[in-house]
Amino acid sequence: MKRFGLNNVVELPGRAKSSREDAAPARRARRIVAVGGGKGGIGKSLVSANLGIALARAGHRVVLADVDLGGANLHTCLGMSQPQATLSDVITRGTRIESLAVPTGIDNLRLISGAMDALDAANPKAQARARLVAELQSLDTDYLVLDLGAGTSLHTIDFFLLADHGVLVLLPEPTSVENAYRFLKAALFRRLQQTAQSLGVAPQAEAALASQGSALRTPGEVVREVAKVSPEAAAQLERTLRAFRVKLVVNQVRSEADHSVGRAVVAAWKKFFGLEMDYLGGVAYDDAAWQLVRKRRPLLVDGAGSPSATQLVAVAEALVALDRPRSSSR
Amino acid sequence: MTTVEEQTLYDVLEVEPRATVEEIRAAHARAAEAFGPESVAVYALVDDAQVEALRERLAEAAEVLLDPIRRASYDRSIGIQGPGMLWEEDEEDEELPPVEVEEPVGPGPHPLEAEAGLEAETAEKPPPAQGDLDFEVAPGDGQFGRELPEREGPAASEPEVATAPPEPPPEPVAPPVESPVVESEAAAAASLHGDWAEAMPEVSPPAPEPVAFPPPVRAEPRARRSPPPLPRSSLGLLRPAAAQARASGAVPEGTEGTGLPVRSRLDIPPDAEFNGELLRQVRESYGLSLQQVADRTRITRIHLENVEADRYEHLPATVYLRGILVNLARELRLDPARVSKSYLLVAQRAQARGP
Repeated sequence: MKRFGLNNVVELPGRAKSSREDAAPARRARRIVAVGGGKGGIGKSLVSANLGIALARAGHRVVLADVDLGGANLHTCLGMSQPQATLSDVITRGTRIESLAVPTGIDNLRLISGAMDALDAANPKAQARARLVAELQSLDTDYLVLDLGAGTSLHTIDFFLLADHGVLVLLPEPTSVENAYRFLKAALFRRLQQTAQSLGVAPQAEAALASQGSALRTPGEVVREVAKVSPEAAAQLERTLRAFRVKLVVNQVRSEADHSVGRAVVAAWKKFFGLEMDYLGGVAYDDAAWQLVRKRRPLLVDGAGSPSATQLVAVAEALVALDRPRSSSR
Repeated sequence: MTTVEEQTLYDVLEVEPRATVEEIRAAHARAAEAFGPESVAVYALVDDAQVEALRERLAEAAEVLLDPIRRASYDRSIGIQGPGMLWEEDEEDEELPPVEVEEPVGPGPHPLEAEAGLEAETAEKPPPAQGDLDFEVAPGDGQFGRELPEREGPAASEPEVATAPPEPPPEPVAPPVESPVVESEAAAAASLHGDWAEAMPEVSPPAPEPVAFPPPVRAEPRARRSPPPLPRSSLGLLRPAAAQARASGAVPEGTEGTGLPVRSRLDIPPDAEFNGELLRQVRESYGLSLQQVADRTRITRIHLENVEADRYEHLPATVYLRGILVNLARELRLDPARVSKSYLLVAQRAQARGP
């Protein structure tokens, strides 16, 4: 049976070890929000940056961290030049992460750049990832917003799983939806495998996951297989999987039909995977917003009042609202 | 964390079991848009067959739940009791909810009743009290006709109905009828050890040589309208084998639960695999012939034969097979989701092994 080890610290989300958290020092990010989506160019950084601004303006202390290590450009979205010190310094120089968080000019909002110019920057080794994760978790802030890179690489998935709120951004078009689902399934099954491993039921979970024909096995099927050998492990596994509750944002909404894509994705995910998803809202396609991005000006700063800015604020409010009624259960 | 295949038709449409017709219509419209061919939301989420199966299931949900008669029948099959359950009759009326009135309304009578020519009597009864129905449309006689298989003509059997002594029911003449129902859990367990005599509950009539699960095959026991006469309820309706045996005292107290025959009286273990053989046993425990089930469900008889014989290579594509299994399970008062899932799994495994 595998036990919790150093490697698992990287891979297991903080919430799976709630008893440890209780005993942990108070210094930690109160809420971690990860913004991902699988595909590039869908507005992950736009959503991250403006989500951070909206949260900061609502009075929360926010740190935006660019963990798109190979393609970091969150600083550009905020109209800043690339900070001198970046996440790479945590690994190469042992710099403490607090010193990397630089002011953005917006009250309550700091930025940690992820730009890493080393050749293998986008794919840090497990030990380096562990270090990064531990450092990020130790940040003293109300909200830590992680802007993830494209693709489904392990470190991207692990950052997503690290978060209390995994925000999935997609555009209402097939390529984006396809990548978003691929990303989502990769994250779900990694969470499943990690949890099964920590519970000592990895072989059963693996056997259940081995696909039958072309149909993908669902979390419920895996839980049932595990229950045959250990009902307790199955119950724990089910709790963990139920907590895999992704928050959806549909970007570049042009029509009511585009809006309905968000609701339909939530419904489809539940239908086929038996898991809940929250639709935080849609963000309108907005020429003005596009112009601002080109000028490297944050939408919520220079385009406040535009439909897309208003909707981004609504997304932030919906996210904060999720924490209120459920804060005790997390 | 149930998925489409495991969900009830209500779950599939994401409505409450008490949803109104309007709510069901609206839910179906939403779902048709969300999961339709034009929708991007299911793109690359699962394979095409799964999406197609979902669409079929949504269509089935709307079709069944928007039809008051079929909805009542479906409710019964998934164990929802209440206003929808209007036709089940029982001698022990005091055990039944008040809605279980004399008039067998709701879905067409089970072939067990139909075999006794009860359709004639049913047709003569006044229409059901609509106040008891939870539907916007009360089932009328014409709707009964839709559900009933073609019959040879009610007149021939009518006298038999009229003259049959309602109570007490005669002793079952054919002993094997009892075998599916004497299987209390203890008896079933004991049967595994061949120790039937000790495990048999105390019953007054001389217990015939009982046969452990699987029950004896009674080839179309009620297909012929010939003596011996089968026991009848106070309404003169023929009962499933279970009720007959109970009437004769062969069934131990408590094994009947509420007396609502919503499931086969075969003692089916919770983890049983529903292969063709088990489905055949369940069918025969009700004394139904293949043809009767075919008439009743409108499933081609050859498909039913192939299902029961586990001739997977001759069965239609999964999407259609699932529909067949759901309908068959419903007819046999089994859990449609469990049966279809289990059977398809067995079939998949068998096919994976190759011929």
